[in-house]
Amino acid sequence: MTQPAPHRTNSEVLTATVDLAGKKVVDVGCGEGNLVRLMTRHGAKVFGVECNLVQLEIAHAHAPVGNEIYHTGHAEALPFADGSIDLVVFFNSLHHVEMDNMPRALAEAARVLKVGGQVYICEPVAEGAHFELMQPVHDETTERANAYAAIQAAEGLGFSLSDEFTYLHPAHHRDFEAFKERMLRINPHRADDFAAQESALKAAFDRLGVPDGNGFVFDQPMRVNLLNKL
Amino acid sequence: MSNSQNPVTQVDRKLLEILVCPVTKGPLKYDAASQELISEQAGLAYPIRDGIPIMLEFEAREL
Repeated sequence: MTQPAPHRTNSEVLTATVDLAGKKVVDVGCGEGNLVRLMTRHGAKVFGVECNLVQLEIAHAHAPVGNEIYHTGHAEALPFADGSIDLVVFFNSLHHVEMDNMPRALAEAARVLKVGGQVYICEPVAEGAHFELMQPVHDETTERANAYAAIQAAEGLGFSLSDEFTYLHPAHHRDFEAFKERMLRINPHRADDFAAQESALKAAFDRLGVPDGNGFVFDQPMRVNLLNKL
Repeated sequence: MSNSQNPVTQVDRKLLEILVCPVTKGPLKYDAASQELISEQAGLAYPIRDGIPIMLEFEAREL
């Protein structure tokens, strides 16, 4: 990065960047629904879409904060009508779409958005303490570069690239066990890698974590891209 | 499953105005008895499990 990015939390950046009140929002890859609930509390009608059923059940088991709705679905085939949505959010999710399908996922976002609607894409940059921590089991350098390339190509899909900025999100883990449990819940298919690399991960956790009295903080640079539907 | 809400309240008419078949992008019909969302164009029925519509082609029942 050419200039130091400011420390901000993911939720603060999202709510400061996009209008939510009264908007219809799709959270693609909503995971356990944290941002679905956050955006609902800010007055949006939010549809969370997730393909990981374990995470979706956790999301759905949460007490609703409003009229949020969850679906099982894929970014490449969104179950929403053309021109029906104001905002599509990809938070930490675009790089999980298979590389060949990334343009299709963005084209689906373009299809469901109203003219003048926006896509908010927030992706971890492949550097920083949290990236280093994850690297032994979860080196996403290639996936994240591919996602960024797909964003750059979105102008051909009916979008204009309206803004890009970075910030440092302080990722917090209570301890190594909590970190491990969370990683395996999000990425159950990586359990074998995690077991094989556990001692390297523990060493990285101890080396990189900055204690904050309540656990350990690992800085993760995040990049936001805003696309406008033309 | 810990969610005790009636799924019927979650699949209201307003939702069906927005929700479409992910395959054909055509309309869906809600079948309360079978707890399915029916896409007649695709010939598929998407199940609703514990209030969560499963909008995946490979999870759908062929009509």
